[in-house]
Amino acid sequence: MSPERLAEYHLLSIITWLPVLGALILIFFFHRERKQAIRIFANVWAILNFLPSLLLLAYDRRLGGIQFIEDVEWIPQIGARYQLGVDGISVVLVLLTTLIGVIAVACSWGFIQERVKEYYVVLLLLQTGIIGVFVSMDMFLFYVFWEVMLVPMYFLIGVWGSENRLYAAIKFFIYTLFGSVVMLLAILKLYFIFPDYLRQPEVQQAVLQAARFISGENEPMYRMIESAVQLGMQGKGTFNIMAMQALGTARLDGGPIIPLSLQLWLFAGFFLSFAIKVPMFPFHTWLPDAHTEAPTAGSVILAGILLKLGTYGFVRFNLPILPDASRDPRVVQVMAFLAIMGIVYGALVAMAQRDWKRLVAYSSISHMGMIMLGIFAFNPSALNGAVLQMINHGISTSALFLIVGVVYERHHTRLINDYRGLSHVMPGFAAVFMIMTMSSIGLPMLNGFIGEFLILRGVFEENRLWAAFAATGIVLGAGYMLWLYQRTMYGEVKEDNRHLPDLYPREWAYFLPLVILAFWIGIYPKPFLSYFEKPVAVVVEQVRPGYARGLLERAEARGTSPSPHERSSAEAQPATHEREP
Amino acid sequence: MLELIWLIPALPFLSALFLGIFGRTLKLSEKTISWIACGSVFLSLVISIGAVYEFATVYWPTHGRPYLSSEAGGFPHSFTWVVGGDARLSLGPEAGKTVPLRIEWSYQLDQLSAVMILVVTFVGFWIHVFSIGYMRGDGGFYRFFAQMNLFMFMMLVLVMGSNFLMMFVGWEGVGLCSYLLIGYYFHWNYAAYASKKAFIVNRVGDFGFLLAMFAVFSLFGTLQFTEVMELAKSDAYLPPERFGMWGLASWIALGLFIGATGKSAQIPLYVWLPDAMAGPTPVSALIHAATMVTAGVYMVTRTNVIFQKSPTMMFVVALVGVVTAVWAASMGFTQTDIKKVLAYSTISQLGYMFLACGVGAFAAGIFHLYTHAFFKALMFLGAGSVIIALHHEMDMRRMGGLARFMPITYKTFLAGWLAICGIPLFSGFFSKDEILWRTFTTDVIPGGRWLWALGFLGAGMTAFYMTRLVALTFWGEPRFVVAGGSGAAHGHEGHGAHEVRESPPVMTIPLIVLALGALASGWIGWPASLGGTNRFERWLEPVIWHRAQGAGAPMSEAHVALAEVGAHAEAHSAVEYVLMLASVLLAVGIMSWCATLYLRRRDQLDAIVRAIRPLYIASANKYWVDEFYEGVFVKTLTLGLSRLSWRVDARGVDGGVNGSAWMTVFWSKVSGWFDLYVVDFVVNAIGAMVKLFSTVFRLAQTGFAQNYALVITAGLFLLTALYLIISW
Amino acid sequence: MKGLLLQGLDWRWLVDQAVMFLMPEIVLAAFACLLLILDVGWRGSERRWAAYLALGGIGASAAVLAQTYLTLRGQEALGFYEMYAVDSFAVVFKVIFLVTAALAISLSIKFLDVEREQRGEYYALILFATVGMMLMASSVDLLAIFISFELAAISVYVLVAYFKGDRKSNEGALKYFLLGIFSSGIFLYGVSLLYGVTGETNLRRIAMALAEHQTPSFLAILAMVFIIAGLFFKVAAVPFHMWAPDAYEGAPSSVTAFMSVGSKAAAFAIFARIVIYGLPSLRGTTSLENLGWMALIGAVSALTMTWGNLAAITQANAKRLMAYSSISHAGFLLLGLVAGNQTGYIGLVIYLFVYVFMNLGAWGVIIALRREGIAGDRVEDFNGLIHTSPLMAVLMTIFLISLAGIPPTAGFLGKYFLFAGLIETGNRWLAALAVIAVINTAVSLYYYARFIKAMFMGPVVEPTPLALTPLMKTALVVAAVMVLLVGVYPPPWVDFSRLAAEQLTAVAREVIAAF
Repeated sequence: MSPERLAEYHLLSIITWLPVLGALILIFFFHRERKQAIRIFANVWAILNFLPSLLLLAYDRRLGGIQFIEDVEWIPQIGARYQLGVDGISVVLVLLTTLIGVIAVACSWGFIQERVKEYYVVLLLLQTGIIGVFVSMDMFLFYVFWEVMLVPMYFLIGVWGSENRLYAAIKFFIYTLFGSVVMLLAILKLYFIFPDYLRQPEVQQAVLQAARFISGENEPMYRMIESAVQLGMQGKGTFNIMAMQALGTARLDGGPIIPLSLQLWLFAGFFLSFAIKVPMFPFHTWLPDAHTEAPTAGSVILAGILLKLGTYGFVRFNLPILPDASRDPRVVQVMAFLAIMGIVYGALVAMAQRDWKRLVAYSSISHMGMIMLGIFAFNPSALNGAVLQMINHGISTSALFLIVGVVYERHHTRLINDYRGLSHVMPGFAAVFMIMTMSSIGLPMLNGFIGEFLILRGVFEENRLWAAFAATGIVLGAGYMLWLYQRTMYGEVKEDNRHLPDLYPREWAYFLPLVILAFWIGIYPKPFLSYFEKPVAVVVEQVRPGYARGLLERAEARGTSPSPHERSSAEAQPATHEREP
Repeated sequence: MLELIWLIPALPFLSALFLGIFGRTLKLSEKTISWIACGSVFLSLVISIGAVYEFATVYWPTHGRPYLSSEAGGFPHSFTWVVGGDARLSLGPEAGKTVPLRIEWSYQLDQLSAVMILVVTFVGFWIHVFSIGYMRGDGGFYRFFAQMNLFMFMMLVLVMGSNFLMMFVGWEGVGLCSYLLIGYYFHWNYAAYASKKAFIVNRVGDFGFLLAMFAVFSLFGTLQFTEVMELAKSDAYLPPERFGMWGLASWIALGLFIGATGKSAQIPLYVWLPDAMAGPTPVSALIHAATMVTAGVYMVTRTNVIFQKSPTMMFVVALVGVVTAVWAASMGFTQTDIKKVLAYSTISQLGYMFLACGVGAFAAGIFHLYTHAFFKALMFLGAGSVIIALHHEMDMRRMGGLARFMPITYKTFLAGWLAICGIPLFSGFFSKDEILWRTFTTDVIPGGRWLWALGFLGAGMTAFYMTRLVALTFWGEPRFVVAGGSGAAHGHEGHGAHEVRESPPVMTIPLIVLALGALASGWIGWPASLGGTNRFERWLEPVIWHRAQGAGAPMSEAHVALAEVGAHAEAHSAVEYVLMLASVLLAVGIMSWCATLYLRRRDQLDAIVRAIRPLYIASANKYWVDEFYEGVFVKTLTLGLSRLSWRVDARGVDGGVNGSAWMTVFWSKVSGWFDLYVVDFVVNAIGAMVKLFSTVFRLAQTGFAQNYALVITAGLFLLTALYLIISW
Repeated sequence: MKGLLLQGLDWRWLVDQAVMFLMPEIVLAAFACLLLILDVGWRGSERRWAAYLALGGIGASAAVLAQTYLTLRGQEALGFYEMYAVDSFAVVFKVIFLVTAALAISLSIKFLDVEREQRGEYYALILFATVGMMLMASSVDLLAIFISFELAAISVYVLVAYFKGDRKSNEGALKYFLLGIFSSGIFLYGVSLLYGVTGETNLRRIAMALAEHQTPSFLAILAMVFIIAGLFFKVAAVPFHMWAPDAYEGAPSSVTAFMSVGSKAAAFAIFARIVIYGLPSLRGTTSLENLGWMALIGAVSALTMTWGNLAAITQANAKRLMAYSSISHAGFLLLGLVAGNQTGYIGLVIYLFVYVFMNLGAWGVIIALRREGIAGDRVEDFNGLIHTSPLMAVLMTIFLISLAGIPPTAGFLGKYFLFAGLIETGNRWLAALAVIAVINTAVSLYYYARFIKAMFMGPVVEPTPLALTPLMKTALVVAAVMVLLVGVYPPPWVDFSRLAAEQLTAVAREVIAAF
């Protein structure tokens, strides 16, 4: 079915609100003592939530832009609307979310024993919050979901976490809240300046042109932006993200419409919020505590999805809405510095950890640094790599946390020294762990490599030094991961490890999809890339007009906007021949 | 047959997949596993032979260019692997131009990869067969063969990949397999350590490779070997450099070469290979002698155009190669572990190959790679056969006199020995002398004679320590005690304590085959000077660029090559004879001397050892290089930094966060306390004063209240005053 | 004065429709008197009837109010020589007061039983206070404001001292009383100065008079400072806040609940009236040359938010903690006046509106914790509430999250409008103020989270039944539902508060237009 058709069935709303519905059912129809029933229901429901999200694959990659648009009036007084929509980037992220959601629910089966009902309720609410962030096209709605999400996470860590949970929970809550409230002010500023600028007719023209460019032939998307612009002309503010992007992309005789100085302020506002979420060095210290103390499912969701919200925010807000600030050399240098610091520093700190889970947590700081570097290279391959790497990190790091969870569930300690020679007693586990280790250190034919290759290649194109520094992260990554593997898996088996059983079928059930995905992305990533190749190209064009001039020319030449398929079919074969002697 | 080449790697991969997933769950018998594993490799061997034959007879004459699997089009022959939107070239003449980043998964069959796949599949197959016997009864039989097959896949991808990225896949893939197989006896901490070391050292190399690859793309806008090499020949893209200059070509070449040193265990990254011997012996034979470690040589040859653009890097390559050759050989003298000796000899032989590349004799390098694959694999397997016979005894001091116990192993081993020492008619003779001769007469880089001298020295040393090995192992009196076993003692059922006997046919047949290879494989490169026509070199002509002429008149490559060879043949044949004679005499002399030393004149030997004791100790301790690396790079640099930054993170960065939290709480305490007491106190004081004057307040004496009131008054007047001050 | 008297005796006065505007207050007052009389006859559990009667009175008054409003159809009606205005601003606030009173009463019943203080005058006093507040909301004349304010204040003084036996209660009451009187004095002094300057007590005419000369006279400034200082005291803004923690802690929880919402709202009502109706020309800007009450209030609001939050963080006593939290909320509310645009005013009103529900709700739970033998006013008393009474725990969580201003609760909406108002001005100083405000929001979460932590993650205590009546439960659930409803579907409520806001903006505009 076509996206429009599915949008008429409110696909996105269904995906977003199903978890809440499930939570309500749990609250009102299940007695807290009937744990088994609750578990079964939660698992079934998570899968029920995953299935409709598969329909998002109907996203028209040729058309690109925002699709599945739903648009309902919400708070007319302030022009906040219930606007949902996804582009290729959010499609894959939503799918990741729902998938990880299933896994997170599944992996809690044995681990959570007390207050089961509340647990699954919280988990489902969290699910809605995250999906909501990815699908909302209205900044007000975005912000609501963005903060709503914190509450269940706080409970997840604080109630079901381990020893030091209270500290970790409140730290996570306040730290991230602190970031997001500042973002609120930036959003408000955008909201109020929009009509101010739209009063000038020439700005209206420019913005509409920009809207046309952003949306290509995607008419629904264009209409969405247009209506927002209309409001702006009447002096009413709008929260529509795409309209803001149009404002940011639009050029008035070559210059930006929002003056650079203001853009920098707004950038700072968004930056704080997103950088804390990513987390970028030096805003990362909430992460190790939160990851370490959270229950397995919590860590999986944190690492698998929550961190992506930050990078997603950069791609969705900072780059397209504030392009001039984003590509301001000072900003770029700072960002690159922080990102590279994150890569190297995260890896080094990870190496020094005695706590298995904490090590993985720091490793994801390093990986997120890589993604940030890719985003701020502003070229398609790096940005494609960054988005793909979001997925990869979601897969491999979630799997690594699940792996810690597996042994923690069996042996109730996270200290690396408490494990040795597990390969003897848990061969299946060892195999999975090996695969995920390799995927996380970017071994070819596994997902991590594709992302890192694309990112580093793109970064190299911008600045060879950065690429060189970032590449050291690959060596260090191999260092701490293999060292971890050696210490835990190899050697004579430790006495008290002898009894540990290998993976149960249930655990295989949630590891297998991740393993399969890891190989699939590693060997044939094209399907995944094809979803966001076009949106990414547009973002690059927004933040860096005229980068892919070739792309635009080809678009005009063909009278349509280019799609990866046409291009590949057109040029894949010649690519190997054209230079024959 | 050509369009089947994708099966060559695919078959071992499928077998690996099958064994890896079902090997344990289905409880497959060793027989089944052996059949599947070896069968798949055998099929690849057959297909390779067929494909190469067709390529040589039909495709090459008609098309005159490499065969690319993507020509057959579409999956499974090839498919678009990585798409990354548009990319902009940032180097060279086309900088600023945007090209679509699209990388094919496709295979390439040309003269070079033909040689490689034949070597890999042939040697690989026989080593697989040998392993059946070697690994009999081992717990992880299925695991072993799954990983061996996986290695075959990766290695074949490496040599058949049609672009840098494919090569990188194999490059890292073989690294992974070597990691897994070195760590095969993972309960043995040393093995675990060695495997990790190997992988990480290789990663350091890959770092260079990766950056070089990016540079190549940013320069040429493609990673396809065919295109890159064509473009690289043009001076516009890659300006040629004179010796001593350091430009783009040098940078790229450097990156690639760093990768090569990692994979092929050259200075400074050779340290992992000796430790890699912790793996099962067939692994050492396949990965750490015949195939994987030669990948560096293959890569340098594959990208020879880029290297030839930079004489500086050529010289570096040659120098590194020859120095490694001598350095490693010098450590081979004193090792007592039979496999370690072979390991160092491998490093040293690889050094020769790089020497060849460095002096521009890429064909010779590949030729030596090819012969070396036979005799070194042979010797490793021989060693393996011995080790099994002695129940995993690896220390040569507890061997000796095995010749009469294990005749076949002995005889075949001799073939390898003669080959590596370079005795005429044996394969090593042809390849090594080719290299030395080319080094002596090189016109690509200066100092050829000096390099030759070093190489010559290395040859002599090789002859010595190999003879020492043979003498200690097979000659003289038996020094072994037949008991349970030692070293990598993983209990072998079926081996009780009985007298040493020859290995079963499943192990000896591969030995015999490889021995024949060690003897005859060199004949294909019979030099012109000895009345042969160096077929091997001719075969490789199309792959190797001849810069001197390449820049000049547009003659067809083949002609150039022939002219080149002819010229050499006439100009240098005299020199060549002399060198040949010299090295043969040297080899024979040293071999006999060494034999006498070890068999009859131990006293002399001890005397010598005593004379050069410091050197001896240094060599025995591998010049403490491992300790140095461990101390400086691992312990101090990496772990030190790591601990430091961890402290910074816990105390500093996080300290900042908690600090701010603490400050908040602190101020909270202060303000709460302030509200409660300070105000009261201050105001009580005021109140006391006021009491003196005021009677009103005395009447209404009510604890704090009026004090608060006073505060309000104070605050009020403060406000007013403030306001007035500011506004007037 | 004489004229006024004659006018008063004029028979036409009886049918003067101005009386009609007073009807809601009259009804309420009547019920209060009736209650006092009936209470004499009631014994023991019958006394509860007082509560229900009071609720009935509130209902009746609400009905009359609705009727009044409908007849007015939104336009402003002035009466009693323009001392008394029934406009949408007044009506909105009256609704707020009635709701507050209703909730407070329904929370009180069981509590007073537990305290064995169930007497009719309690409810009568609440009604009288409410009447006073309603009058405040309508007064547009300084005298009327003062009188109605005292009516409300005195009733609350008595309520605070309601537990005669309790020393803390008396102490708190006395402080509150004395300082209240004192601040009233200051306020009155300011008023007299203003009268001296302008010769007027009617806010609008004062505005006109002040608007006449460009640079305000020194006396006018002084008057402004005094009046605003008095108002700062009423809303418990730093540095005039010291009475609040003592009074809130000392007073019976139910009374605290009532006054922390009702009195605050009333105070803000007159605050808004005075500064916007009466002193618009003294508003000033953020530039040093031309400072006015905007700068003054801005500075004080920043100070209040910060100080209140900081002090709250480490309070061990729940009531004292909530007292400081309400101080910081007062700081937030002041932002609405600082912004001085419609968004800000909407923020002010809607924040007060939702504050009724979230704060009364929170206090309700605290009250419910008051059991035989358990004071229930320490944060530790919330430990393991999720086990003893999940419903209460969940409700409390909703109220706290709303107080912390996290979506999708009503509290967020209120904060949103306040911040939006500041940003809308585009003034960088006010933007800085907004930054201070949002940071305070994040900080405030810390002490609200202490309750959540105690309830959900604290050690499990042996379950003792809470003091809950169906009525109370309903009240709390209603409050929670409102908190969520307003947060999830704001439009009607935004419109509701926009009635009042538009009133203010309109007046401001017209005064500006005047000069």
